[in-house]
Amino acid sequence: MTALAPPDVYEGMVAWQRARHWAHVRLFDSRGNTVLTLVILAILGVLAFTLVRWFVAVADWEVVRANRRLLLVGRFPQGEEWRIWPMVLALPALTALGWGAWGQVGRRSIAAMAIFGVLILPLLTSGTGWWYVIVAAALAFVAYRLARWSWAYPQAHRWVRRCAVGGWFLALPASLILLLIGGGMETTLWGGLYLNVIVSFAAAMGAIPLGILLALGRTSSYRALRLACTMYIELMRGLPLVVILALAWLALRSFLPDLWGLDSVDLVYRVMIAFTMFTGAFVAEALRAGMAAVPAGQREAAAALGLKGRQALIFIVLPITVRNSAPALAGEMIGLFMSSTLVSVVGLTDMLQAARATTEQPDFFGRQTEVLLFVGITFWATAFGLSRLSERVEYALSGTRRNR
Amino acid sequence: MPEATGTLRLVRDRGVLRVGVNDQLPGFGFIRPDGTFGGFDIDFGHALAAAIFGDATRIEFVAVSTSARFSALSAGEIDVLIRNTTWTLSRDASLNLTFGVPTFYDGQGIMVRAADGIESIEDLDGAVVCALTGTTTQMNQDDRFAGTGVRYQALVFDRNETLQEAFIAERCDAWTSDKSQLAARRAAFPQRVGGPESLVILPETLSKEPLAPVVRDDDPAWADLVNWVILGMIAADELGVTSENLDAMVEAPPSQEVARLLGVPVQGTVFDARTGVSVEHMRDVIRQVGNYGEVYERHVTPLGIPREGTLNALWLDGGLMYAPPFR
Repeated sequence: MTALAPPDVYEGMVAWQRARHWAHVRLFDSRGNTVLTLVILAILGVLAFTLVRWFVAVADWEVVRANRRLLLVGRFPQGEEWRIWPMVLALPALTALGWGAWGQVGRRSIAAMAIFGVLILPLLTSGTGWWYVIVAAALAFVAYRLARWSWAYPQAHRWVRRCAVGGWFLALPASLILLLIGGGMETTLWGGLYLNVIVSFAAAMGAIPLGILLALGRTSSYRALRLACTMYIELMRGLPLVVILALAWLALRSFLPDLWGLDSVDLVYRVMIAFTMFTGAFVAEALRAGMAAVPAGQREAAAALGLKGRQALIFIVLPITVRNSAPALAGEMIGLFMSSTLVSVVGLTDMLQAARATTEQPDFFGRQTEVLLFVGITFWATAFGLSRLSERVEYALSGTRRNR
Repeated sequence: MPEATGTLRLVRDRGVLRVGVNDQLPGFGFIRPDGTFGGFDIDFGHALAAAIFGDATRIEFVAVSTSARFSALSAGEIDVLIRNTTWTLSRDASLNLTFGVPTFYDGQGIMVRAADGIESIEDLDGAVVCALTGTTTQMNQDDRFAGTGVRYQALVFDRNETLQEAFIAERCDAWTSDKSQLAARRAAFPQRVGGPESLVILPETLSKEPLAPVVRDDDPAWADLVNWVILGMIAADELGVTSENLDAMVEAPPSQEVARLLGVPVQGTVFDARTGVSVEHMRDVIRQVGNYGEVYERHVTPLGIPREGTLNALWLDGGLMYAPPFR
């Protein structure tokens, strides 16, 4: 006996009839529900009206337009933008390549990005900036098409994935080199959103290897090593990030000897190291959890296959660990990006600090809502893009075929 | 360039002066949309760089918060702090820091709505007074408030922006802050909520706020240099030397004092006070930055605080700006 499918109530209906049926059943099926629906609709309507009115009539986005440069690159000197443009072009392309190589961008994501672009870009761009936007979008599109095309050819697909991963690893050194070559930029002039991106990027690159070493150390059978790693992790997790930053800024040099000229290291690098050390501890704990979840049978199977301890670790345990911890790691990275706004406590002008500074320009007193909202939207969009990317990677790592 | 020691030598070797400043104080230290710093305090930093290097742009500004400013100076992250810092006994005595010549005499004031008809502190009985964190203690200690028996309720905010919103929403009857800041806020008060005319700053001044540069107290020569650059700008103001007439003054100094100030030889010899910088350093300062009055006109007058009749006028006009003789 085969189970019968439930009857399709929508059978033979056209779209508007379906909608009417749905509304009738879900919203207006009794007098009480009808009242409830109308009341809620009225509340939503008033809220939407207020919000739209604020955006259109009350808000004055000139504060963002006038200060867009300050918000994006801080106090970066005029005429030095060429150090930044290559990265602005490369990062969307790399993201698109990754999206294409590990999945597919849904129609909804494209629509969201388009709406976002239409709302935000006119605030941020003018003149030649539009050309960069067009080129960046075109590059991203080409990268995405290339990655999608490669699915048909396994060899090419493997290469595309390698390029996508390698690109991310090269992006940070490349951007640092661009900032420093040819006379170089004073690091105190790095700022705005670019500073947030570069600090969190550098910290992420440092924290993951550090976290792997710490997690291995903490689960090691050498007691001294285990103790040292545990102490480090607990110390870092117990200190507020602001304290660590303040220590890196002012205190270290007052009680540590000046080893290898460490005291004269530029503040931005000290901040990157502080973020790396802090995030490394959290990454280690996320990995340790992932490691604990590796089934014992996997290790036993590895041993049965004749793999030595280190081989089993590298080929069996670590891959499963990374797969288990991927969601937690992605969360750490997004958290790291959000925490990068704390660099303002050490006197660096990141995007949030720049936003605060703009509302103290006499022309823009009382415009903090607009500029803070703008910062919030920018951070949200960046974090959302990151989380979508990590979702793709999680699916790819989990081995389940889910191509969307 | 003469030989230098201590901080001056450090600065010269580095090739750039590091100044701790405020980045969120209208008129005194703020960031312009193009990313450069501007303001009254900022210009004194530029003046110091001009004196040391002959180039006002060889300077790096570090935006330091109220709480981190002294530690940043002690730790050597900055060479001098020029950040609307009030010179007080406890700070001077306990921090291993030393204060220089005040560049601006400010004072805590109170701003109210004109429509409320408040004319002096006595009328504030029962009012809600809004202040930024850290300024209320001063109010509590103030004899004026204690002596009049005026009771008020304090509402504390951590940012001027939020305070302004509360004031517009009439959650506060009065707004207290340094008078220069009240004037800046008043001048830019949005027209849609009444504009500047709807606000009045009460005549009383609740506290003395001499704002002065700060240096570490282990290097008196450096402190002297910082002081004498500021005093040079005040002296130039007094002697009528401006960035406009500088060349004429160098060509034919009207008095020996002007000649000594600008490093012009008098009877064949140049006056050299051995401060560690070039004898002509004040020429660079005045050409690139201006005298005290010019800096005031550039940054403070637009806030709506005229100089006449205030403590920041020259001593000749009844103010406190007075430079010891250049000889």
